[in-house]
Amino acid sequence: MDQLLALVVVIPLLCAAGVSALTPVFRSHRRALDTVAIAAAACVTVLLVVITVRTAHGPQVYWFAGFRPRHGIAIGIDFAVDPLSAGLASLAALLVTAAMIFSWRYFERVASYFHAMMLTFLAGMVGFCLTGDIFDLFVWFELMGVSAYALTAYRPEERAPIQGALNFAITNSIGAYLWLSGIGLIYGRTGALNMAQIGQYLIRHRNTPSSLVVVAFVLILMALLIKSAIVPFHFWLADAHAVAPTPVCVLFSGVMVELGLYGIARIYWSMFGAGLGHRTVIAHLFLVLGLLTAVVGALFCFRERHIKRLLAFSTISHAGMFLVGLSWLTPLGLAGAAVYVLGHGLVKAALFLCVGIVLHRLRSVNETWLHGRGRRLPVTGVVFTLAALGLADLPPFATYLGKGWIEDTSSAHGMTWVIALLVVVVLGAVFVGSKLWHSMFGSDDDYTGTGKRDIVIQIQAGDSTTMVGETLHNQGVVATVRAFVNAAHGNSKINSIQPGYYRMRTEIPAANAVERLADPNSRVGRLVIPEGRQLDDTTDMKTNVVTPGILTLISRSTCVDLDGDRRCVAADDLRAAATNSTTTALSVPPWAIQPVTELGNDHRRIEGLIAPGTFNVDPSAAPQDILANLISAGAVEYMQSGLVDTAQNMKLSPYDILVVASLVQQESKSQDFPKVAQVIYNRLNAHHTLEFDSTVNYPLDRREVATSDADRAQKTAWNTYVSQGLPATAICSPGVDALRAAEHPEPGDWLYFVTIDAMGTTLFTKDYKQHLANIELAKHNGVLDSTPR
Amino acid sequence: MHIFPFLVVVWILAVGLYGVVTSRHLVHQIVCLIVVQSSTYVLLLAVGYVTGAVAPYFYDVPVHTPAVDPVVQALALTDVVVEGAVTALLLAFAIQAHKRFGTLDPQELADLKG
Amino acid sequence: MTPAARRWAFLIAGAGLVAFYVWGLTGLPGFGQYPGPYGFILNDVAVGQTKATAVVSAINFEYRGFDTVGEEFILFVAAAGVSTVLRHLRGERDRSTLDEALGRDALPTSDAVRMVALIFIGPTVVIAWYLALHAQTSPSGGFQGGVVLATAFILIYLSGQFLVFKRVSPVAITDAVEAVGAGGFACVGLSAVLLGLPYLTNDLSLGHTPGAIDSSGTIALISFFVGLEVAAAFVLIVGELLEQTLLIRQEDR
Repeated sequence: MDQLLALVVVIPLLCAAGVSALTPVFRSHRRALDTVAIAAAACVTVLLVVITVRTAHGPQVYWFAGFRPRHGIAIGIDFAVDPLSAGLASLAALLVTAAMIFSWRYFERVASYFHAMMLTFLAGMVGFCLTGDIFDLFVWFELMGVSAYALTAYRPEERAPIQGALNFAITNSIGAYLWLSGIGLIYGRTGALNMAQIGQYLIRHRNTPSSLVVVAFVLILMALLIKSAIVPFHFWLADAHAVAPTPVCVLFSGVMVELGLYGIARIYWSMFGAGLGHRTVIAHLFLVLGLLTAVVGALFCFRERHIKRLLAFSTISHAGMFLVGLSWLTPLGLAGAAVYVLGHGLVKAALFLCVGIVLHRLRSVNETWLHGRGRRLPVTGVVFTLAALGLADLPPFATYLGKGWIEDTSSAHGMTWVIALLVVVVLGAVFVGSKLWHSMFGSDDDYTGTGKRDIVIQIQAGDSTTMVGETLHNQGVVATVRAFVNAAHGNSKINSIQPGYYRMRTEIPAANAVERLADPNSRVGRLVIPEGRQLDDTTDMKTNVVTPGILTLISRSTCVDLDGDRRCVAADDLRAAATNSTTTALSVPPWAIQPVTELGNDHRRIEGLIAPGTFNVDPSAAPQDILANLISAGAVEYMQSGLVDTAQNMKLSPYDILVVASLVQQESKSQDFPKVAQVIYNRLNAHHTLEFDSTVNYPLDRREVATSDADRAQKTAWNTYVSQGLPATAICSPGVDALRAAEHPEPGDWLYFVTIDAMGTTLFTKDYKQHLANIELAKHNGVLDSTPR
Repeated sequence: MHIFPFLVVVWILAVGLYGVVTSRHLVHQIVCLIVVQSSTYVLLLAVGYVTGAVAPYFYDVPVHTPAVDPVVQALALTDVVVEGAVTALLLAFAIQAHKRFGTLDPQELADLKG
Repeated sequence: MTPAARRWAFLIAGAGLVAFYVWGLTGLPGFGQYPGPYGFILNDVAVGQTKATAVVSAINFEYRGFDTVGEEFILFVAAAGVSTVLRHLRGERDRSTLDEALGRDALPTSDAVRMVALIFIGPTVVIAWYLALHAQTSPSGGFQGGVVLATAFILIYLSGQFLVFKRVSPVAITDAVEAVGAGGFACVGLSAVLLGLPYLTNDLSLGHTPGAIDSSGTIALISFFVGLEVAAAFVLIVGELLEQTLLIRQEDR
């Protein structure tokens, strides 16, 4: 027995464990880590090629732990290897080696986990190819799968959501569980787990047809169809590609999907084929699924802009073609598919690696390099072109040969229309190649003209010029990232662009896009909330000037002029959202939930929760979400100023301190804030009503220094002449100084204060008589002067 | 009569799948995945049962006493470990989703995909 | 697809799947009528061949030991995946555990809880090793023992002392133990290859009495390694998840 068969799985596993155990050693010797991992993968590749050659003389079987079958019944696990399985395993090992060599310069950090996961991925793939036991097949399938999920989420390269990895993991896991169910069924009937043995059993009993066999076959088939990204189970592949790092994508597209199809071939031929019957039904099923996948994959290629998703759909399309090759259930069809897989695997790997090189360089290189860039990557350009030609199934590439054999088989079965459909697919592949080429290496592809329609795009904090270009490209503003980056080269305004929302037009020349971005008028959604504003607009009683409230400011900031249509979020809508939405929907912080809920259905319940400052508001968001974002930003601000900690120390709730700060903000000037805060606390401790005019004015939406008796007698939730303690909510949005004053009041025992002159001098006293005298002084100076009503 | 335990298998699978498909909370979805997996355990163990037989441990009983099928039990053990591993990984993904996007709702995450 | 539409689509497809599955189940030979032959053969020969009285363990670690190797590494890679994903969120800088949990946790643990937890830790560890080392005798084994051993560590966390939990299970060492467990298992199999036998052949002395502590050769040894690996993997995973929860509470998002 050939010990190599066991070694090709054990070597990567041991290496993975070793690399992980010795992480501290490798931390300072990164090159050594890479070398060890690459050496292991290369070694496995060589061994597998040797095995492939040996299997040319006949299939090899290896029984683990020395348990050979007794009387034709297998009691252990075996590896049953023929040239197809060994060849596919060699391809897998080769691609892993290539991917690991690529990663040599790709990841900028030491990461022994990556190497360990790649090696276990390799072990899983090799085990999957070589095994002859259905449960063992499942175990390697799962090892492959879990390694793949972990690698997908390894270092999300772009801002793509983790949703890709989740989708991948959940979909494939369901497939795995269906597989297990299938195993349970077939074991329940045959009492065997060895594929060849099950096959023999089914052949012996093929005259007593059983629903169980059909169902088991379909369940296992579904799991493998999911893995091969065959329609309608193909959705996860594009998402996974968008998220996974490039070397991992190489493996997904180059070999993992193909292994799923190999699995189908294996279980069909080893287990179910002869015993199951229904040969034509199955053949037609595969054919239909395969064609559907090939066409759908090609069609999606046409509308995809994201480069890696584009390649993913191309893989899906090719997977469909492989399945078509399988569906003829003849040796030539299978051979055609195998050669096609080999060619496609290598070609797709090459494409991904070229794309990876280009993306890697663009990102980490600064603008001055870009001028000579095309000339600097000549090798990449040539390899890319060759690979694209290979993807289009042109001679002399193996893909041409493989497809040719599949087509031959099709015409031999009189289904020439299949060939026509395959031509469509080829066109799709050609399209993919040329589109990629243009966006990477092509001449400046740029739009001309004045553009189609207006849109709002978002620039996020930390975006480099290239990322901005990608955003613009994805939204259809510029034709290629490269054009934008070239046009923006050296433009200092673009280098220092602020994160926020900008109004742009789709399909405009790159130079135009740069101009628009640099133009301050394109900025939308910029919201500045000054200190001391309240939600509603207020009118100054003396001058009749209306000060816009926060809701009006928000509404104004969301105004965008799109294609002549001025669209804003109405202040009334915001008010309605403030009134009716739940505290969770508004992201009300936990320490504010109780006072907010207590006030009930009044939009003023969120007064004070939106902190003053500068914000970027998404003009297209729903009113509720806009408020929620501002409230959570406010909560963070307050938190960072130490609101919660101070509250604990002062034995008050954070919300109370906020209210105090808002009172302080409205009642005095900043130099007096700490003293006024102390007055408030003193009065609260003495159970004195606060008697602040600002609390009377608040619900009346006006600003005035003094109030009439009628107003003061009115009982509202805020009137501190009538009610003891603090008003129900804050009465404005306090600024940083007011907050700080409320958190750290100046020690003193004053109970009264009044401003005595126009410059804002304020006198504080504990004595009521002194306070009356101060009021006289104020009146004398003309400060306290309100028209009696 | 002889099929009732197996109907339980189907029921658990259906309930779990329903949960996965319609879930609005990632952790709930992952737990539903565990439920789907549980249906396979029940299937395996039910398939291996032999009426009137003992457990396949021959410490107290003589060696050739009829015993239930030990193979499915071993398979189920393997599955439990695999499932635990996958669940741990999925939960880590869920935490990452929450941290980055503030939401654990699968529908919302799908919309964010853009 | 709207949630309602999704629900309906699933109900229809699900009904189809259920019907299909039930149709397949009718082909099974009835509950309690397992036909064999795999199980019956192993029940007959396992004790004699491996000198282990726990046939399930014999299957897991000997007859189908190669499956178990794969499964061990699935656990290994999952722990690695969890670590990678969650560590990225934390950032790569080395944060001392002090500034992560010091003084922020609201309630101090009661001494009663701590005492009880401490009292239980010792017996838990003993039980864990007892289980791990008796794979060949009773319905126990590496997995069960490993999980119980991980519980002993988690008890420390449960008694309110996350810091201590992290201190006794530093990531580097837990990683190493896990790798040793998984690698050790693979190496035991390799020892057979070095002797010219197929991988994972039982090449240690089988002892005299079936089910005794020193019987069954490699089964006990493999069980030990498996116990190590499972314990380390779960401690690692739980530790990472807990650390994330505490951090999330810290940053108040």
